[in-house]
Amino acid sequence: MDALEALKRKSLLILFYDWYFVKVPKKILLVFKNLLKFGEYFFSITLLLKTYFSHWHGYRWVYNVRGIDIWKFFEVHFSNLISRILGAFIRTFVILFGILFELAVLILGPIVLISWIFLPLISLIAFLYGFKSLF
Amino acid sequence: MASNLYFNIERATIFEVVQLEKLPIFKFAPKIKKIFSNLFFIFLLVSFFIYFLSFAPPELKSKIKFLPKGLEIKTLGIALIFLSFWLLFLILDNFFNYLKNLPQKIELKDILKVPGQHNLAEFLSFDVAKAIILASNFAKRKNIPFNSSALFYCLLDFPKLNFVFLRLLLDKTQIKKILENYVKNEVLPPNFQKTISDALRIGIEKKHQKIEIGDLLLSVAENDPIFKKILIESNLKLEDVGNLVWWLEELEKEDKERKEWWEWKNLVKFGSIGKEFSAGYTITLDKFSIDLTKEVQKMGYPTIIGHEKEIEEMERILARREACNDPLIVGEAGTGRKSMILALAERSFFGQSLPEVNYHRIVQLNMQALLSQLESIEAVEATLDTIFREVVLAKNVILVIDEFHNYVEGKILRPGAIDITGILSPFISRPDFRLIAITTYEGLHKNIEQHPSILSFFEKIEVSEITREETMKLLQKFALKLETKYKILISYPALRDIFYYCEKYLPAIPFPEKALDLLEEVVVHSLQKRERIILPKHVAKVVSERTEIPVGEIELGERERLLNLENLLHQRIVDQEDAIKEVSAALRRARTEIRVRKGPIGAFLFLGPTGVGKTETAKALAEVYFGSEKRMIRLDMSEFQNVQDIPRLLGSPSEEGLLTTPVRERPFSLVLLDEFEKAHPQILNLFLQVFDEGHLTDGLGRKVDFKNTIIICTSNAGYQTIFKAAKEKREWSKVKEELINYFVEQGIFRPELINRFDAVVLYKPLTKENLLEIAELLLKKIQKQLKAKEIEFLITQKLKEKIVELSYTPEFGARQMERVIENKISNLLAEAILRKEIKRGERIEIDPDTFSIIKR
Repeated sequence: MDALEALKRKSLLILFYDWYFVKVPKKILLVFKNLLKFGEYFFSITLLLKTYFSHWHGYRWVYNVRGIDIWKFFEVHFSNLISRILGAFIRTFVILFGILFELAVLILGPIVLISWIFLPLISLIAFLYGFKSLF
Repeated sequence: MASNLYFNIERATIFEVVQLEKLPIFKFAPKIKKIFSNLFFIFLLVSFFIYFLSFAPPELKSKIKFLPKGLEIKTLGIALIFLSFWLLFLILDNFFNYLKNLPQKIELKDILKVPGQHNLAEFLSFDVAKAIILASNFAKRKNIPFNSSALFYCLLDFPKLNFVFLRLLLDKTQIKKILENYVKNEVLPPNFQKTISDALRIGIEKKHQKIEIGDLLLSVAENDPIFKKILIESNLKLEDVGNLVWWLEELEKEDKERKEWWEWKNLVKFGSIGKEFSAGYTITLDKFSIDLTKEVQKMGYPTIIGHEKEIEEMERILARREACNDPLIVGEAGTGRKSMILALAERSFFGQSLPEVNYHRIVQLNMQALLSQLESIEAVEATLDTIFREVVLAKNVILVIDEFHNYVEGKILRPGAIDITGILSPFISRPDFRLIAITTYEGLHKNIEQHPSILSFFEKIEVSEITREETMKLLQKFALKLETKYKILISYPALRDIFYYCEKYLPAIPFPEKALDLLEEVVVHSLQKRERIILPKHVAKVVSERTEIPVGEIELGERERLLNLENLLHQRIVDQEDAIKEVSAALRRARTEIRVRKGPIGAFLFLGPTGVGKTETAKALAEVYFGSEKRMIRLDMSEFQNVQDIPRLLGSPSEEGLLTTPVRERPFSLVLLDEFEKAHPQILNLFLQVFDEGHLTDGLGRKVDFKNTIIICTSNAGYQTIFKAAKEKREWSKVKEELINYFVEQGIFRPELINRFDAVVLYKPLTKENLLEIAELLLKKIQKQLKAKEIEFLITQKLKEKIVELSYTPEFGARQMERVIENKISNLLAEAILRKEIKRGERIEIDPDTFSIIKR
């Protein structure tokens, strides 16, 4: 529907329909798409999953002793293990928060969209309920 | 173009929308919406408050028994009614806004492809359509043709354009009165079609989707005779209106972008915690550095203006996967080198740069903190090593070192200086270590070029001054910040003058720094004087104080001085009518810009024997034109007889240039080059560019501006010819020709050099009469000084003749005269005053035979 053509024919109602049920819902969907994309960017879930067992902030210990030093060998490996476990532990939390955020967006999106579509109805119900409660 | 366009507003969609706005329901929708939303929240709160009162303790409950039962339900009911109205008006208001900005399927430029097919009125923004309808009604009411003046009258009522008129210091009420007067008494051209087609052209140039109100205003400024007149009377140009419209449009765009919080650019400002986790810790680096990415965040992501190409080049270099991926930014301090880094930080943060540069931290190493906190050189080196390791391990850091040359010492190490090249070398060769070094031309030539091994890892990016348009944009942005900070208004003419004065009087400092500094100084100065609006006069005052050049006065007084130049010079120079006339005429030509080339204010070659007044003319010119004899830069060119002397003249990394440095520091000066013919031919060639282009590049690659100088070259070459001609009483114009031919034949001056002078001025040998006049001038100086001590000194003809007799030699002209007067008269008078032989109130004269004082 060409909005301009519609207005030319002075069919304000058709124009309203186009705006209300096509343009605005599209915009709402775009907003929530952006929010989903932002959630992935902010929490970097994919990146954190890829680097799930990496050393925490690149902290690593290197075994640079000549010959065999069992104690040093275990110390280095244990430290690296701790660094990796710590990394995985914190990443788990961030990933969980990220998933929660994305879920919230996924749930909130349709709610906002439906609310918009039924906004005139909501307005009418609010008026009737309010009016009724006065008397 | 105008005649081909089809324009009918009444058949356009936007016409209907403008008519709709007249309906109160649409007109007042935003205000009603706000009122209902406020009422809804108030009643909701009251309802909750009453509801919570039902949980109050019994003592309190007994006190509020007067509240009727079920009041909370009733207030909630009222809140709901207000909610329903709020929602209704929310929908209406948004729908009307949508109607006002109905999207266009066809681009503006496409209208011109098939002129006459589309109704141009369909491509008007809501405000423009409204202005046209109002103007059409106004024209009908006043019974005048529908033209640009009617449009101008109606545009004045648009609150959006207050920004433009206020900053241009144009009084809207006054303009309305002028317009009404014109409309009553004058016949105005029916130029509506031309105005609207020009607005279309402007809209297309600005890549607008519709013709916006700014486009219409600019078109009216172009076409309306009254607007043009007002602009001329207010010392404004069309370009100024254009700049202000640009400024207004930019602010609107920024405001719109900021409000759309859901847009990716706004969301990404929150950063990314996940990405930070994958980067390594940089504990030592953080201690001795400034995170420029965080700085940009703190500054609210400012729009960085200028150096687009240089920034892109820097990104390309950093994106390389090879050792040579380190940009070396070379430029004078104040050219905006650091702004470039901030722009990079911003682009990297928003992911708008190249993939290899995106989402990186740009961190500036704080070398001063490092050097001051650590005691020994060894400790500094060890810390630097740790820092560089951290940069490599972090994987997301691009390091910046400002004033890099300070840490790359030349061959001789200064005490206390540090050379980091040794520690840097192993890292800089790594592709995963990226460093941006900032330096100056001087630093590059003096220090960095001494280390070719380090230099080979860098790719040079030369940063030049930003353009006039960019500087104006930057000034406008900075002005807004200052206005908010100090609660003042900075007028546009003041901003424009800041640029103009900076360009003319402060050429040694680069743009934008000098303009921004001056703006801040003007603001502080005005605040001290309790002025709330910054006007051009405030700028002129600060510039005058800073440069010691009477800026405002020169602009006004210059005309008078130029017209009266001959008389002013003759107050000091005796005779030499032709010479003075020629200098004055050339200077007038130069200043009125009735000439092609862009050299200095004036370039003159003064020819003549010694002691005839060549130098004196230069001094007089400096005093008359620049206000003081001190504004003279004097060089004896006989000291520059070899090619090796060029660095002394132009400067080099190890020494200041004898010509370039004073001109850089005092650009508004007279340059006197004595014995010009004695300089080496290659040195003379350097002046070809100065006379032609008005600038010279010094030994450090900096452009030195000579546009505000008067250059006078003196020479006594060929003086024998002049003497001979004087004896034979030949015509001087022929002598000059003969002399010039002689110079060319002898190879003293090349013809292209002589041609570049504004005038070659010939000084005649002085006659006895001239010398008597000079003697009188010099004696009058003594007379004036004695008068201050209330002693009257009588100058006799005999005394003058004696002085001339003692001092005159044909070869040296009047050169000896000053010395003779000093020896014979000044010394005598000084001793007499000390011995108290002359007292206040006495009249004296000097016996020319014995040189003794006679009291009268």
